[in-house]
Amino acid sequence: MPKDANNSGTSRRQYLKYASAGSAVALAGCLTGDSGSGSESIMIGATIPESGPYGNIGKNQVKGVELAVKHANEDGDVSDTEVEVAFRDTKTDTQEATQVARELLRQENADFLAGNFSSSVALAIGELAQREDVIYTCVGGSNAITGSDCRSNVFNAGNSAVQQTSGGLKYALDEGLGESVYEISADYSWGQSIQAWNENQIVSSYDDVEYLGNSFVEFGATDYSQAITDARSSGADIISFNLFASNHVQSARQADEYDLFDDFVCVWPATGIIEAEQIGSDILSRDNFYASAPWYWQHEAEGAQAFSEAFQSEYGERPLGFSASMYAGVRTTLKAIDAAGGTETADIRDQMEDRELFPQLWGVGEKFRACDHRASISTMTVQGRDPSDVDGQNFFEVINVPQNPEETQMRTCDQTGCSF
Amino acid sequence: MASSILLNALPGVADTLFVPLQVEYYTAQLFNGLVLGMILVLISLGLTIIFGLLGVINFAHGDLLLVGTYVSWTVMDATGSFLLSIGAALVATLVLGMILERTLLRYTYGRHGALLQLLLTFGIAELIRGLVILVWGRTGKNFATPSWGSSSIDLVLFTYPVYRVFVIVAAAALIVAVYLFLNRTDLGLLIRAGTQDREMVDMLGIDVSRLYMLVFGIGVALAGTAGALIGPVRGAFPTLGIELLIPAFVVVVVGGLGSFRGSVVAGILIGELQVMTGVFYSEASQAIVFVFMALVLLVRPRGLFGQEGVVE
Repeated sequence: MPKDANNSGTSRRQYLKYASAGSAVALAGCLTGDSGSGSESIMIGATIPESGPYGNIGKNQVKGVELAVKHANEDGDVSDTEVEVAFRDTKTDTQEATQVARELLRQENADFLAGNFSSSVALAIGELAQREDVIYTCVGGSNAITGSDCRSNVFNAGNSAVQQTSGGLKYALDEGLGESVYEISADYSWGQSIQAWNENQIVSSYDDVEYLGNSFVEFGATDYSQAITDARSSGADIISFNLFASNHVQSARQADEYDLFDDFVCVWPATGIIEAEQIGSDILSRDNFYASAPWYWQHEAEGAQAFSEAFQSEYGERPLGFSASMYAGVRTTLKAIDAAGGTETADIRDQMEDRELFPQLWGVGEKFRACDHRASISTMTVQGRDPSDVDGQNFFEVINVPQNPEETQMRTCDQTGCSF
Repeated sequence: MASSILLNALPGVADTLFVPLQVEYYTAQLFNGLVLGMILVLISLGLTIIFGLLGVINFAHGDLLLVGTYVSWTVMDATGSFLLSIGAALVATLVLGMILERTLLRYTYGRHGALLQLLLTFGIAELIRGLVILVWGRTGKNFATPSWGSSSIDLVLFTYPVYRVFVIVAAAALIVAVYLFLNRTDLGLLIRAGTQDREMVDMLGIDVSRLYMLVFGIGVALAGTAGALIGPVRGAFPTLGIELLIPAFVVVVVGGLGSFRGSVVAGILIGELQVMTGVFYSEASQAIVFVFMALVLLVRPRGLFGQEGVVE
């Protein structure tokens, strides 16, 4: 259930205020009437994995945040106040992430936290942000982040497991690509979220579709032969590989090894250009390869194209979906701070709820939904281009971009189990 | 590894195809177990040969395997030839093993050697893993399956990936080659003699220290080759060696320390046990090998084929 900041006892900001005041009294022996921080800048505490299994994705997201800060200062997102950022490496480890987030608050005096794309890390930092009474703008697919474990200070600029699977399995079923489903799922919060949603909500909503089973694979496993043999023997028409990043790459390669693309429609719920590069266009271009992409640099929305070009020009590489989400998430938070007229958490929160993301990288009026703080971004469905058509990193053909994701791709507010 | 609820689904699927589907399914899973088993055999053979002659329990074995994986990945990336990359991994780890024996391990033989060797091989393992991370990065490399192995072959009863069939065949060929080397060559004879009585071989004027160097190199090269073969199956990442070393130690203990035959039989047994347990109850697939080891040791404390200090 949602935890309210007002119930968490003394907040970090109050603590700092009392501590500062106490120190001032002790040192100067007099009282001052001004308890404000006197800060002339906004400090962002960015918690992003730069090493560990997802370090390569994290490094791209770091650039997304850097660019957001640069553009915010150029465009005056927070009026005349300068925006700064301090980064810490979470290593995609919940304990490490909590520790570095605390460091950012204590040592760098971060005004809000931002960054990351791991569900378990988002849950851990979210809990800390609630306790410390600061805003945390994150990306994380687990439904729990904006559902059963939601926190009022947490705003999620990425798509949820529900949104992700809408671009994958749901699309395949809507298009009539099969009548039975088997899943191979990563055995951690994100994979469990997708598996449960697919089985209990997506598949069961079709009268003529049969759910044949699921194989969980443990975190860190890289050989899926056993699970693939399970899936192949199930006789399903569609196999949903609920596996992320390098596991997505490895499973796509092994699906090809086992000739699954000949007989099965294979869907992945979250793909991007890093995965595409590693999988290779020979496999991506198989007829039965379908994946959902949280965002893709060739998205035709005006905001997306401007962001892609700026990112490419600044760093000489393409932005990933997680970086796009974080770019928009950070700039939207800064706009909310400006509108709130300060860094008081409750005021920022009020300004962020139902605020449209800035800039509009999906071009569908996406916003931070007030009831669960999840961004109503549109998850697209992609297939691989023919290898002869691939030039640079244009690996995908976008085959579907829902225009009203809040109605077609998201849980209703009642379904989330979260209501602010 | 995989928690399957497939069996719950099978009765519905199996109304018309029960027998063929079951046979195909279980045979394919047995092959999955065999792939893992053959890799474990190669790793544990290296361990057991080194232990047999040198008396060294090589805790750096897993990370020396890692060198094989990354050398293979690098050569494959540069040349596109997987067979060349296996050869490069074999040669690189053979040479590295011999250098390590000559420059470090040789000073640990004799009194209190076991403790020194334990500390030294642990140190080498940490150093190698650190260097691998330094050179190739912490995030791991995607190890592509060679193009000739990226589809499946019809094995009458079921289809199976060509590359995985290649792993089984290549590992089997290597095991036979090592067996023939040990049993049909003069050098192999010397190694076996040295294993049984080092002093006697020394007294006959044979330079045992060179034998030590060669055997350590061959043992490490077996791990390096296993590392190259497993690359396209599991990918290349810094903890790969540790992941494989633990079950390989179990294989050596179950098969019997120093036993060639024991490593082969126990390697295949442990691979099958791990995969087939995962088919029925995945949560136990890792633990089962340790339970099995404990049971074997209760009945046969020296393992299935163990004879103290002897390479059979």
